[in-house]
Amino acid sequence: MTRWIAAAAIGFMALVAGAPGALAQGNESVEGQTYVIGTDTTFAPFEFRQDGELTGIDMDLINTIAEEQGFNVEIRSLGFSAALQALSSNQVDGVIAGMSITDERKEIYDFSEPYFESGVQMAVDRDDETTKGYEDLEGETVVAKTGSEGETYAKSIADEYGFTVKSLDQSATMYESVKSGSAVAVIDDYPVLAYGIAQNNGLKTVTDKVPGGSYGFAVNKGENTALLAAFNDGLAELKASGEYDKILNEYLADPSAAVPSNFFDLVAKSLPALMTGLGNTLLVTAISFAVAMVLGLLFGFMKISGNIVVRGISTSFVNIFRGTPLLLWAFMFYFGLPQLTGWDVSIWVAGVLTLSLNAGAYIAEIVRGGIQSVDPGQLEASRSLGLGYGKSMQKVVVPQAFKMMTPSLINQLIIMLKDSSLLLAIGFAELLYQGQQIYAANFRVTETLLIVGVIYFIAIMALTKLANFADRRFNK
Amino acid sequence: MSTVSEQTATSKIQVKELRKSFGSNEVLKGIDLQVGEGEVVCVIGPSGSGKSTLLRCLNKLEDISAGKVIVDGFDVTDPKVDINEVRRHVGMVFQHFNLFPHMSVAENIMLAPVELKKLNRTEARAKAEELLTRVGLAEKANARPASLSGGQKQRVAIARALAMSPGIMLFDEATSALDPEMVGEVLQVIKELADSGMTMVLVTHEMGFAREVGDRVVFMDGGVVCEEGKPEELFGNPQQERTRDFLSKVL
Ligand SMILES: Nc1ncnc2c1ncn2[C@@H]1O[C@H](COP(=O)(O)OP(=O)(O)OP(=O)(O)O)[C@@H](O)[C@H]1O
Ligand SMILES: [Mg+2]
Repeated sequence: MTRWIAAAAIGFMALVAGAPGALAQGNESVEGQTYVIGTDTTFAPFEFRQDGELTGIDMDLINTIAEEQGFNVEIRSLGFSAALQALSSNQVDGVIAGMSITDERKEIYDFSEPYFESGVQMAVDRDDETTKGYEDLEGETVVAKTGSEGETYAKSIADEYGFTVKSLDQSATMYESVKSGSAVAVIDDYPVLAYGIAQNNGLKTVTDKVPGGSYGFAVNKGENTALLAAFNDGLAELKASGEYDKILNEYLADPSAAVPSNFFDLVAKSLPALMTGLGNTLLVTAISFAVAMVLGLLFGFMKISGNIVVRGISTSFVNIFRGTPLLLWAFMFYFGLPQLTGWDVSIWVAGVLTLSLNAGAYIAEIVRGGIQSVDPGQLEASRSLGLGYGKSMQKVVVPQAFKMMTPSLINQLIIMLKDSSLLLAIGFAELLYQGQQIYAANFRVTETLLIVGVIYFIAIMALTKLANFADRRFNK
Repeated sequence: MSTVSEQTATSKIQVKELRKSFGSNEVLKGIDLQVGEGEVVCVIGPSGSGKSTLLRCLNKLEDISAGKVIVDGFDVTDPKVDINEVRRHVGMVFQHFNLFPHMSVAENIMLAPVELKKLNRTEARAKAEELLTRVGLAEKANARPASLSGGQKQRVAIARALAMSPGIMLFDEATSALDPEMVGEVLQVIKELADSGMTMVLVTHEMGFAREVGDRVVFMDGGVVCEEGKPEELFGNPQQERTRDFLSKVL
């Protein structure tokens, strides 16, 4: 009934606007159509990337329904707010993003029947036999996610049961707090918690679900009614056929049934992504080090110049980049520079600028120190033979300076490789960033970090050996 | 390239009214000096009198504050003169040898001829071996400077200074840093050079040697040339009070 009114309203508006073609939207058939669907980037278990593929409850539902109803979908992973903006501006036809149906949103969008009933639940360590419910929380600390329904609920009962709520930002860190014993329980959104447990995060739920919001699929108000109807029909059929439960169980089922994957499975599964990360770490370090050497030599030589202005420029450069944190420059180059200049700064450019300018300042000092440590008599002897300043530097002073500089330069290279992990803050896909992505999906924080740590260690040991070999080979 | 008129052509070095200050400290206060072709001039004088500074002004290792220095026909004080060109005509030997430690003995000697494209590597190597034979170190061509004794180092340094076949050699206390038993071998090499007709200026503390090889001895004190003359005159019958004073202390 409402559908008819909506369709009539659209038809009327289209007539008024003088665009009769828009009437085609009222067509009941979705068969063969392709719809663009917006979604979030990462909101496990509803949508997240696994081995590069977008997967999750939302993705499985929309794809199965599309298949069932005979239409095609093109998924755009835009981020939650961006997906809603795209919907409002008709860049996408629908949004499925683990979105709660609220009265506010109903003003702007039309929602499908709820496809998921969310809620709040409490979980404790798998081996904890004493905490069985809220009444065992007296005097204990409970963690919850900042800004979540779980946090609101936990705070509402904290006084009644006499526990303290500690709010954390990431699911993974919450689960780690419980496992390490710094908190006794976690109160979190049911699907997120259930997914974590299904991923073997070492917790178990101990309370019933406190009902919360329902999630729905949304289209722009009064538009794509056929798509919405097809979604509802498809959903009903999935529920009837048991397919719906199968999809949910895949992500939320208790792992007691599932075989817990061991450490080596984790290594095997995470290694491809971590190797990509290591590749990026090594590449950004190599490029940045090359640039930093050029900068360091340039500013190092400027520092020993007889010209006070040239010396001043070099000293300012060194002081600025030694006197400010690396991370500040990462943010500055990646977020600040595009706003100031209007340029499109790629993450590689921002990363290389950050690392190389910082290291360049240190290398300039190493170069200056190295050159000044060479006996001035060496330059005089070379000049007295009739060699020019440049040639004398190149053939006599710099080779000796380099020999003295090499240990410091190797040290600087290793510091740079480690510092490159800071670039994860701007989303650069280096090794530690890849590790974070992995444990954000599987919640096995400690083990993942251990693997990442071992990879860093091996890479740095190998690099040190290589550099020392080169040092012996060329600086004997 | 500015060459000078023919009346000075016979003198290899001409210094006129040379002044040199470090900041407000005037170290050379108007030096006049002539060195003729093939002449060996020994410079003596108390510590701090400006002997090294004078020597270093001759090939412009020190900037010249005022006056004129003409070396091998080049006006060193003329900013348009290519000082690197001048230095190829003037070899210099330092008190502390200043050999290049990252190169072999032969490479030390070959550096200038090869880099300045005077000789190719094969020719330069042959020249290095010839010079090493001359200073008695033929077998050390491939050694590193660090493995040599002080006396051997200084002989290599002399060979290196000779690599560009300079017309003039400058020695700044070439034996002062040596253990006494090694002084002789270095002086021997310098003496042979002197006998071969090389134009030389030697700053030295070895009075006996100055007397033996010097055609002329210059006594400096307080930044001026106090007295000069033939060795037997200056050592045997010094005219100035300060010269007598100095000689009575060192002899
Ligand atoms: N680079 C310099 N900067 C400032 N003062 C200098 C410099 N070189 C030399 N002097 C000063 O110039 C004066 C003369 O020094 P110089 O080395 O020419 O003396 P010298 O006669 O060679 O003495 P010595 O016998 O000790 O070698 C000294 O007072 C010395 O301190
Ligand atoms: Mg001296």
